[in-house]
Amino acid sequence: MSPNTYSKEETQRRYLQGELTEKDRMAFEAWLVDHPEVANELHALQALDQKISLAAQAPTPEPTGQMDQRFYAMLAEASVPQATVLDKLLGLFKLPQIRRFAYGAGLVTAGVFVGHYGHLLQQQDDLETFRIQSQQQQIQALAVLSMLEMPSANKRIMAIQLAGMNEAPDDPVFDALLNTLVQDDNVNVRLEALEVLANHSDKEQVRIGLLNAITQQQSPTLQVALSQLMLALKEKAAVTPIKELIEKPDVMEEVKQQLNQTINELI
Amino acid sequence: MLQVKSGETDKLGLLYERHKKALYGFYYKMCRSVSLSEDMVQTVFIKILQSKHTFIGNGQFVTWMFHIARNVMHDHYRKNKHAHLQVGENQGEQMPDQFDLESNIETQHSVDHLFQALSLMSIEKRELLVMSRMEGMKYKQIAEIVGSNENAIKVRIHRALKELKSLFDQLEAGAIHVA
Repeated sequence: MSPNTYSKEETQRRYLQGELTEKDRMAFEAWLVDHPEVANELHALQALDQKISLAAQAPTPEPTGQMDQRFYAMLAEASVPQATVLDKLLGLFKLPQIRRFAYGAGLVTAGVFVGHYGHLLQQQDDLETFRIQSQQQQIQALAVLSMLEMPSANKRIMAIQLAGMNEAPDDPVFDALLNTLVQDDNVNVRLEALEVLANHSDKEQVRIGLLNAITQQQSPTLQVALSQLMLALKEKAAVTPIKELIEKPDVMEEVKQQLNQTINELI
Repeated sequence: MLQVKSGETDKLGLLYERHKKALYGFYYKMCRSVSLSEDMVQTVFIKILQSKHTFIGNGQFVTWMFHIARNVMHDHYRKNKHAHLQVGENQGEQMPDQFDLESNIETQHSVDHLFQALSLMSIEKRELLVMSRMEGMKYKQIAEIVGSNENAIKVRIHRALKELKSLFDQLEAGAIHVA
């Protein structure tokens, strides 16, 4: 430490606060001997420090009992569990009006939930029913198609009756019935097919198939039955095929008369 | 304190019993008023309870407590700008008997002047001298309490001591009077 710094406040502070090394302290105290005004000032500060220490030892008056009482009252109050947000909300429900409103709102909400749940269940039931019906129809169609291939006419009639039990048969079933109407060897089978197809004559596929079948019928019974059906359906498109049928040489005369009468009524 | 922080509020009673005298003593040396010191002790422990979640547990509880105590005191003096005029209101009746003895009149007088000189200082300088010279706190701890560094605190305390000496000398010489 340079003697040039001895007059600086920082050096004097470090001396008073005991931060100087032993060597620096001795050198500084030697310098103080030649600078009594600084030495006096520093000694006065040291003396003041001692006075403060003395003052600090002066007994402090005891706090009154009120300090403890007030603290423990505060602590007791703070130790009581504070109402949580949930508690406050539940507290609100203790009010009669709000309680009635809450019950009402609860009932409405429960009703909405129950209704919605019931609706979902109903939808589920409908879907299940539809799925079962579709499955049954598919099985039925397969049965009809396979039975129509059987050599027994009775079985084929049963197949057609089975198809007739279905309110909305598939297109392949209609195709099979129309083929039966044209190609089956047995008149009774063909008549049964015509009866079932007549029930679905509103369907375009069926109506066209019936018109096409007119000229291909060789049985008088079916020729008359088809023409009667066309008359019942008021199907004017049937006039041409009926005329073609009349032109055929193997058509019986009584049948021709019946067909001509049908044409006249349709026109 | 960590137990208080975790919700065991009743444990604050233990901390109060352990530190109330030191805190009260600090305040009394600062303001020389029993009632005001008690009020501020009470406020400190309310603040401790309110801000317990801010105690991180790394430092000493005492340092944290004195940090709060200092804020409480500064708040009080901010709200009561002329409160320093009341300093010393209790000194006559509160001084222990031995200080009233004739043989110690001079010492008593000197102590009175010392506290009067302290009362004339700013609250910031006064608290540094009280913490350092009267409460015996280390410079490092004081630095943590007031949010400064150790060297700066040493310089500020040295300068506060010099200012106190000037005021004390003037009181001793009768150059100034304190009401």
